[in-house]
Amino acid sequence: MRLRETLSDFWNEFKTKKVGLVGVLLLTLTVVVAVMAPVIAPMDLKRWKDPTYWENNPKSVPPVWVPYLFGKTPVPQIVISDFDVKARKLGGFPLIVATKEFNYTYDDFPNQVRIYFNLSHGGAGAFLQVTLYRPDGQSVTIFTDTIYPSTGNETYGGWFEKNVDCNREKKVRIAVATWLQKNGLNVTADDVIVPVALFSDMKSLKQGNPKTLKGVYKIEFKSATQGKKLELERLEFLMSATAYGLLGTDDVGRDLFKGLVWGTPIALMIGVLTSVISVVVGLFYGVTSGYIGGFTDEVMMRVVDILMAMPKLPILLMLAIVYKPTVFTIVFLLAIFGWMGISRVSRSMALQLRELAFVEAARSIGASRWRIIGVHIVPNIVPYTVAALALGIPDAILTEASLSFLGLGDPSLPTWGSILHDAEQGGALGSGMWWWFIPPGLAIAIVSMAFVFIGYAIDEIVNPRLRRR
Amino acid sequence: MAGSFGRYITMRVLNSIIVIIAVLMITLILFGPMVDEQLRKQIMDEIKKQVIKGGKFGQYKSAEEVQKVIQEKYELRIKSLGLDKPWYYRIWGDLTRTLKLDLGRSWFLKSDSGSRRVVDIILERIPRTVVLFGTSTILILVLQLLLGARAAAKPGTLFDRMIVVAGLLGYAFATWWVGMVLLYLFAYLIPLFPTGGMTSIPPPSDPLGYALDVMWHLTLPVLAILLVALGGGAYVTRNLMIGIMTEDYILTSRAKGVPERRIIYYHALKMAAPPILTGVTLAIAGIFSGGLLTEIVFNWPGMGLLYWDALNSLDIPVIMGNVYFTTVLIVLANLVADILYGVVDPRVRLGAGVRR
Repeated sequence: MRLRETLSDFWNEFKTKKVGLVGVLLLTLTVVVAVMAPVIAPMDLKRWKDPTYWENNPKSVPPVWVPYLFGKTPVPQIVISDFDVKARKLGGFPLIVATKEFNYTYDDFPNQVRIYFNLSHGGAGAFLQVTLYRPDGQSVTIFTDTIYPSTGNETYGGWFEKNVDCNREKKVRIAVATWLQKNGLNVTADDVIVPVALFSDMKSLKQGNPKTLKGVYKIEFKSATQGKKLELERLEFLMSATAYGLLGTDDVGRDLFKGLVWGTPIALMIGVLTSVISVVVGLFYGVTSGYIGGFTDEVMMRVVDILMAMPKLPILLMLAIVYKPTVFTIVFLLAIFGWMGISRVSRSMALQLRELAFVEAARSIGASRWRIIGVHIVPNIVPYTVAALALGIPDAILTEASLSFLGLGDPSLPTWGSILHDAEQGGALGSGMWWWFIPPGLAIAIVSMAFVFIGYAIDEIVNPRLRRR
Repeated sequence: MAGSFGRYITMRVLNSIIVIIAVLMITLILFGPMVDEQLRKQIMDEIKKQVIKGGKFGQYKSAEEVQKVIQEKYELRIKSLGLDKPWYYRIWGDLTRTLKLDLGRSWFLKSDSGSRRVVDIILERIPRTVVLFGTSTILILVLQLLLGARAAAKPGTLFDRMIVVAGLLGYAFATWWVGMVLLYLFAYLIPLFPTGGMTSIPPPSDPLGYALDVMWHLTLPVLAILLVALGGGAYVTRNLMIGIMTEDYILTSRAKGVPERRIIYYHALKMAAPPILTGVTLAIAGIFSGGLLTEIVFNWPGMGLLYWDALNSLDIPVIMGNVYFTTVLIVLANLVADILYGVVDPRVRLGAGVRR
């Protein structure tokens, strides 16, 4: 039971290191987040980079708790889907009218307005029109569309689905601009902001200081066909929030909290795997070199010297360009440049150990070179590599983040570095979107700190020479 | 025994040359096929243009004939350039060409003066990177000596503990992210410093104004690099100094009545200098890479920003050239530190055979 005693001694000593305990605390936190990721932030991980997955989310909005700090109530995500649908016949042809009233009482305008519909028209084509009735008695026909009869087969051409982003869709912009012009405003379709125009008090809009028009609005969806069948499969009117989630969204509407949470297991995995591989390779390489000695040692250490002098980042960058990496290839690439430091330390320790009596005893009873290395030398060095193992993790995490920041990480996963890459490219700094670039960098720092602190504390215990006061 | 010092230097130089050649080989192996592919495409386009535009009316009877002529000319050109054989047949030529700084032409990017030669694009940027990197390295070196020595003078005090924590924190933060935060705070939120670039647009015309303008633009990026790298340096200095302070000769000096300040800043620091230089050697590549990424954040038009630009347009020749020059710069910086190390450490100079 020597091992158990050693471990409990170790723990007793570790408990006295404040830095180490802080590290353990931070590590526990990150591990909990990593393990709980599917519960805290459920999402389809593979669709992180797919903009259509996030299209209903508000774009570039701050976290929900931010408006409250300024004494404002944010507009929540409003989805109207329970329409009163009435199907009638008009001159023998089917006609659908779907209406819904809603109360808009917020001080802010929605981030975006969307209309989603899925219309089954049996292939005969249809005409549709969406109108918004405002509390001040005005009505705006936001969107009109003609679905042409489908020439293809029934199953494919029998229905029509569309998700209209009202501020992007040219038709909507023209319709809204025309309506505003009728009201005496001098705007064109190019500079109208649809969500603001639709929900603003006309007087305040004319003064150039738009305020919301509060009251009961009605949204109406009408559709008619010349065919026999017309059915509304799904209809949604969406006013998206001015603040979203715990950490806001980026410019394609991705929930940054989800990205941050899912970045944790990925970063941990990359860091730990890389460091373990590096330590194992470095340990055996160094011990072999030191134990064999002579010319072999000279050559093996020369290789280490040269690899150490290689510029890590430029080479990783080239490898990443050519081999479009996944997480695992990144781990492999990082490990290539991670093992040299440990190999030097293990070599010098092996040099000392091989002169000791127990090794000589093993040699004298005829133990083979590899047995001595594997059974007698390596186990004696392992404790000293634990600190290096912990310290190698933040290094790997930071290097991976740098690669991802350059746009060379795993292209499908939400890594912290890739979020920061997007933030840099999307001008997060200029537009003041701090929620986009502060949390991922802090997360990198916190996870790295956990391992740095732990590694430092272990180093102090295992290498008493480093101990001071 | 100047001979052994000479041997030490020779070994270091040899190492540097091997590193540069090895990186070059990796570059050529990785990108050789891609570059060849692009070159073939360019030649094909050129010949097509030549044949179709330069041909007289009625010279060719059919489209097949045109195709045949193009194909023949193309193959001839390819053969004359040696492009019909795989890239590794030309590696020696490519290697010597690169060593002679003939890096070819870029695919997309241009230098500020409008040149498409990769050498021109990079040479223009090296001084800018050296300014940023040199300023930060010198500042780090000086400040780490002062802070580390001060911490070591009174270990266990609040100041000392702050240095330890700062040293540990330095390992945990990405320089470029610290740069982003600084930029956001002190350029966008509180507009004290410029939001990027190396000079104002247009730059001041008088030399003094220009220098001040560059320094103004330099402040935040250097601060970012310092914040991350300084703690680690000071921490290393402190550890070395504390070790040295327990040596007998320090006790002797104290007994002789040498003032404490002189003991710390003269006797002990002199002994600590060589290993500190080793530390700097090891840190140089890190500071440099951190600096490259920091350039991107601060829009500093050096080699780091060139990586970003070249990556965004996938301009392979520029990336290859940039990797080559980055390697040379890092290796040179290391070599200088190695030689300085040899100069200050008598054990190396006199050939006591210390292995680092």
